[in-house]
Amino acid sequence: MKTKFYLLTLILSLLTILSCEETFDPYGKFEEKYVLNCIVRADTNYQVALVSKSYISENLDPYSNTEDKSVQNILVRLWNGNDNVAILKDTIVERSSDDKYNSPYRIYYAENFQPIPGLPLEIEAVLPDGRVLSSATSVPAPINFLDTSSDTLIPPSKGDYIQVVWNSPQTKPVFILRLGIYYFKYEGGSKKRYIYFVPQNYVEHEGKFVPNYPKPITQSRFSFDMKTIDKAMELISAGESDKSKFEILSCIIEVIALDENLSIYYNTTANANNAFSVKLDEKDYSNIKGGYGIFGAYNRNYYVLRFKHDYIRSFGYIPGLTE
Amino acid sequence: MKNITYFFILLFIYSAVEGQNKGTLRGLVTDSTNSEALAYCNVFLKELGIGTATDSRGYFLIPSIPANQNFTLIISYIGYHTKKINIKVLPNKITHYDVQLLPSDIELQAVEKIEKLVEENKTDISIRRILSRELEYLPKGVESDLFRSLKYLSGVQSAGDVSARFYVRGGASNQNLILFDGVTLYNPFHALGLFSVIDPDIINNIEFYKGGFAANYGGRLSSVVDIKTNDGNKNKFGAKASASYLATKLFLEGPLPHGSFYLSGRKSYSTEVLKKFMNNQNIPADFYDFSFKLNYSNQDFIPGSKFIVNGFFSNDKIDNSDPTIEDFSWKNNLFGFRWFFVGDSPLFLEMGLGISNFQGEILPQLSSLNKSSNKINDISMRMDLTYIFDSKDELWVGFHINQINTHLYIENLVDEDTDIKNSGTDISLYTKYKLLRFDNFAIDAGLRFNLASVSQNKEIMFLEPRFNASYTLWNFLTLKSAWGLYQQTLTTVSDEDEIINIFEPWIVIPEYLLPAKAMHAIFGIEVANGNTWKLGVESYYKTVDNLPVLNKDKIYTTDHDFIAGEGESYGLEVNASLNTPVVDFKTSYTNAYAYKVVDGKRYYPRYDTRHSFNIIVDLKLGNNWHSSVTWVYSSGLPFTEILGYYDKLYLDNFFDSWNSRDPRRPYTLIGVQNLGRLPDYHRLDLNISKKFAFSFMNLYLDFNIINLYDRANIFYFKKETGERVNMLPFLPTISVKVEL
Repeated sequence: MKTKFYLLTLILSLLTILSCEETFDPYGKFEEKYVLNCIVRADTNYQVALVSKSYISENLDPYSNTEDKSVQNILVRLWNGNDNVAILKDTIVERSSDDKYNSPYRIYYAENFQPIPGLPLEIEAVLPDGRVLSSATSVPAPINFLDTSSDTLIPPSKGDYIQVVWNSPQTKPVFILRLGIYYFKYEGGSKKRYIYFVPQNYVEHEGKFVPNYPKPITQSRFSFDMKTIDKAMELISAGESDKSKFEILSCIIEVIALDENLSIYYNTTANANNAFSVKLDEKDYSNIKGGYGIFGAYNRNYYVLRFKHDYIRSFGYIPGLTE
Repeated sequence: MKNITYFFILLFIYSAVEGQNKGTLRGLVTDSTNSEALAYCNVFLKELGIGTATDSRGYFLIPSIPANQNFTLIISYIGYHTKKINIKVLPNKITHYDVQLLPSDIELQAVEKIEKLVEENKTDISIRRILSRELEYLPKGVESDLFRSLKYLSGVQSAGDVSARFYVRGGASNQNLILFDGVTLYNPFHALGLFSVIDPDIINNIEFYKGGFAANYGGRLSSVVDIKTNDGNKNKFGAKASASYLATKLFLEGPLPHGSFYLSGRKSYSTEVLKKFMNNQNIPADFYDFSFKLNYSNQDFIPGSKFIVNGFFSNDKIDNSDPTIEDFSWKNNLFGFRWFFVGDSPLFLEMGLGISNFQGEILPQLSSLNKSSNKINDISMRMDLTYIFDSKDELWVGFHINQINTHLYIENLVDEDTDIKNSGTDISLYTKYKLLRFDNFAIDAGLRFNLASVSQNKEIMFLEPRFNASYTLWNFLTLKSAWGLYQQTLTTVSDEDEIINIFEPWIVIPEYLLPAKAMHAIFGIEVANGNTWKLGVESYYKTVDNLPVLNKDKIYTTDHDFIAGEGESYGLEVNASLNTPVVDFKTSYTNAYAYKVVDGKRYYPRYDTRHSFNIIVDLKLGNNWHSSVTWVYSSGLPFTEILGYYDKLYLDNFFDSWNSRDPRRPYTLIGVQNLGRLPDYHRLDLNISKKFAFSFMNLYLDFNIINLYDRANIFYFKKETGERVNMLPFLPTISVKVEL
């Protein structure tokens, strides 16, 4: 009996030991790396760069790190062509209250640096220890909207969609776009301006219309179905009985043209896994020499479409601009 | 070349002369209760001291038996009463006997003592023959599963116990040829690869070649899983219904005029248990599989013929009710027709037509994924002819023709389409000669001629030579070896870093790459004492050239999707088994090394395990009780170490200004690929089953516990959150089967 008891105790002890979770350290040897991010906008002369460094998280969860890793005392320079150089100043930016970091973050900025489309751009960040991060790109040329091929009025005189066509001098362009309906709403005796962004289509789910916004494209044209625009017009005043509080102004299509570096970077960062696949290692794209991050440029272009007044009135709204 | 021709001519003449006044004995061994063929039975002629084994179709053939003399034929098989019959063969003719064996009680499932060990097939190496009942008694996670059971074998690796996907001797999972009654099955997995699509209840036997497979198999580099299904009960109608936590099954079988049939269907009904497989994540999987088989054998219509028509259909959906999450669907459709012929000469002829179709699709809905779809159509025709000489030597000749169409459609993130269509024909002839006339020495020398290939690259390997040899040093000890070249023209677009992979499309290896080719070299020693115990040691060395690997450096759409890599693997496998009337004991140890070289970088693939050790103890407890215990150990799998994190810029919204919110999120910096090792893996599983026999039905209760001591085996580490994800936890399951 005693032997059986000891044997059972031994087996149970063994099973308990075996079932224990072995400690596991996923870390290799930590090496400090630096990161430079700068996306130059061609539609403004205010440019921003961020410089930070890599870190390690004690509890293996990188999101538990609340210390901002921005690096101070960096000499950041931007070249536009060959002769226009800007030395970026640094400043502190307060974070929103729901940000995971406790401290504000540091940005480097230039207030009067207007990039010239088509010309090369260079950046260089000299670190306190003398190491240099650098990169080069060029600003995409502005796109030209083709009035003859594009619609100008909503709804169009023929067809059940509106189409906007442009051309771009870029060889491998990627465009990101959005369509906004600009309108006023009368609230408490004054009118406030709002924008309703029109999706590519709506998917009905459990009685609600879930918007599906346009994805980046390489084609130099885009069309919106009139049914989607109709639905967007309806949803502007969803829940409001008094439709006359809404004064509809116009539709504006914004088209952002990315440079090649930014296109690639966007592709790698947005490359989503599906909900069930488990992917362990992935490629990290960077065009920064000496570190990580991205140096790219884009420009933003606008195209205005006007509404026909009858169309606006059919929803009970008031036209805000001339046809 | 001339010398070889003379050698074969002399062999032929010698065989013809020697055959006078002798006859050939042929037989078909079946189960007396349902007339199902019994594969790999021992067949022994007592007075002559010679024997053979039935093939996977239940046939045996013993040539050169003195004519007009009485002999005692002993047929023995595990789980059946040994049968002795008196036979007499006619001179210069084939004398055919149909033998039916009566199943013994479960507690007597051991081979009764026979006079001599009968070699199943002298030149076979790296092969494991599996019977359906062996699958039944292995511990199972939810459902008994063919591919999960293969992982208990030496040389078979996995990237974790969550998936049924398997890797053989360092080869990728797409290098395994899955043949379902002779037709290629392209995607043999249900529910994210957690289970195989093939219901074990329809399987008669499986031949699993881990390497060194002969010239009659082709098209894959690593392994062959050749599945033969049951014919259906020829004696009476029967039905089986069963239910597990995951699916319900129904199996119908019965006789037809001059034949029999079976119908089998399985449908998932609950996905609750799948949460245990996927870190408590809900998997809205919905699947079914359906198969049928009809066979017809009328001696008034082409005597010696058997005609078989079979079909297999599986369908899977991951159907999220949320439009913001993508859905998936994939399906297999197989259809086969075979004509098997045994005539008045020692000849086996099998001709087959098959259609295998796979379709997979990602339906992105409103998710960030893009639409993707894949189709593969494989129409095949094959002929296999085996002639057995009086000397026992065998000549095999055959051809395989596969008309293959693949279509892959992928939209990338910027709405650009990739539309890859390929169409072509693989035509292969093969021949092999099995020199079996000597008691202690055998050779299987074959050639596979690739006359045409679906590959667009014209530099295909025209000849695939295969060579197997065995030498019996003593009656109980045999030395075996194999060498061969292998070629593969199809591949999957799969990222080996995805350890759970739903969408794995098949394509023809692009024209800018040569078809992948492999070399196997195997050497083994087998020691056996009758059927009581067996010890086998095998070492292998395998190289793979032109290995298609996804190009992770692809940046531009014009960059190639694949680059060519290399593979190398070698190892040592030790297998031991002991069979007694009450206990069957099997154990195996593998010491393996696998490498890949891509872009000049040499690394361990995700499934490279240095040491693996398995023990399976199978107990027949009497009174229809049965139990098995399995312990599995493997040293840690490779993983890529974390070198730190940095805050990466995410371009979620170009239209907002930066100042409103820091657009950066933590990103993991990783080290050299797969240089680290996860902790060791081990697990104890238990199965207890009981058969309740009633006058009108049998009831089977099957109780399983996976991971009995709840070992926390790490599956992977979520770098983004620091969460450790473990493999299968303590998981008790029960299943019920009713047999009418």
